[in-house]
Order: sequence, then structure tokens, then C-alpha cells
Amino acid sequence: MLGEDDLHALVDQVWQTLLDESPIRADEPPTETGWTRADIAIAGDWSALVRVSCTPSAAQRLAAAMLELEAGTEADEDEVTDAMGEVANVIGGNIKGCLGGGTLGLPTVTTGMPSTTADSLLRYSVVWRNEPVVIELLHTDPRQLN
Amino acid sequence: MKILIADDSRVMRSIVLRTMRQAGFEGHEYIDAVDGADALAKIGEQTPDLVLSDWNMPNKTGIDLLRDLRASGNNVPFGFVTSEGSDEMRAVAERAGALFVIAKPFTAETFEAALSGVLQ
Repeated sequence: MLGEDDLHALVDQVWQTLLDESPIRADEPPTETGWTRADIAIAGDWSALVRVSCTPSAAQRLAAAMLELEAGTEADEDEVTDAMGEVANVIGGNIKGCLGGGTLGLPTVTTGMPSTTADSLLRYSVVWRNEPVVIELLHTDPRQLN
Repeated sequence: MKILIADDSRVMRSIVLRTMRQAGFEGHEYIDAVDGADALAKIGEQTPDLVLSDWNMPNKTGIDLLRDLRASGNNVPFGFVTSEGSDEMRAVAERAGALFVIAKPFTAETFEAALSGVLQ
């Protein structure tokens, strides 16, 4: 079973490998609205949702960093959606491996806030390039997953 | 050599290509495919020497792509680059004819180790 330390180590490794930087563990993020949120479902005996949420400017920076865009060049909307989905996909795939089986869905990217702390089985709040990012593992009802 | 990279994420295709070059595999021709169905068509048209494929893609998954290729008699060298690198998936990949499974997140060293026997 996955523990909080495992999630932290896994996310740190993903950040280090994809972005060449480690995030900094943070207190709970501010509650301003309009975040970008990427969800990916793990369906099986143990159904869960992996959620990566961040401010739109953090999502923009994630995409630019993953694509190694030149300074001052912005990623377009499709690239931001793609990058957010891929971060969720890589974290979700690794979490699925720790949970032992199931099927990984395809990521969906929407506008929305992180869950309330009570809904999260595991939650890792970080700051990356001065922007808050929240990674969560949520237990879901398999009947709600397609 | 001609290398086909199949992944529904353009960002990840770009990272795979960059990592291949960092691993020293420069001077090859790279082709993109946006999912398994696109990869199957392009493999038929362009006969790559190596396929690097994501597992989890819309339209046709990577494992279905590999099974379709082998069922049609196409034995192009094939490796997975996927976020799911469990022992079970590695076994499934190997049984279907994959040479290796590279799990995301990866480093240039991971690619070098997996591909050094495949690419010169």
C-alpha cells in the first residue's frame, strides 16, 4: 500500500526527471479559484483518482519547462492541457504500480480546485517556482468511473 | 535508422526525442505517431527500424499495436515507454514480443541501457 512518504518520493522523482527541479513541500495552498486540474482514474479492485492541481500560471510554466520553450515563449492551450495530463499520467502510472494492478484511464484536464483535505487519502502540497501545486490520491466509487 | 515514437502526448514525444538525443542516439530519423492506430498506419507506410510506444493511448493501445504487428508478421523491434512499469506489464509486454519496457519518468541513462543493444 502506498504511504504519504511514498507519494512524496514519487512526486519528487517525477518533478526531478521531467522538470530537472525538485518541488518544495509547502503548507496548504491559498484558496483562490480557477485552478487547472488534471485527473486520471485507476480502476480495479481499488478504485482511485489521481489529481494534480495548480494555478494556471503554474500549468503554463510546467508546459513551457517540459517542452523546453525559450524564455518568454508561452505554451499554447493545447500544450498546457497535454503537459498537465502527462504529469498526472506519469504520477498515476507509478501509483498504480504501488497499488498493484488495475487499469489506468486517460487523463482529463479541467478547471477546478483541489479537493477538500477530508476527501484526500493522500495529499502532497508543494511549491514549484513560487507557484502552489497539489497532488492528491482520492478514493472513488468504481461505479462513477468510466 | 528510422525510429517511430508513438505517444498521444506531444509533450511526451518531445521529451522522448530529447532524451534519445541526450542518450547519444543522434543522427537517426524520427517519426511521430499520435496513437496506436496512427502508428500502425505509419509503420506500414514508412517501415521504421524501431518503434518506441506508449502503452496507454486512445484508438489503439500500445499492446494492441504490438499484437497487431506480430499477428500480421511484422517483427519490427519494439519497446514500450510507459508510465506503468509493473512486473505484470513487463511480462505481458515480453510475451507479446517487446524488447524492453522503459518506465516514466526516465533518464537518458535508462534509454542508453535499454537501447544500447538495439541501436548502434
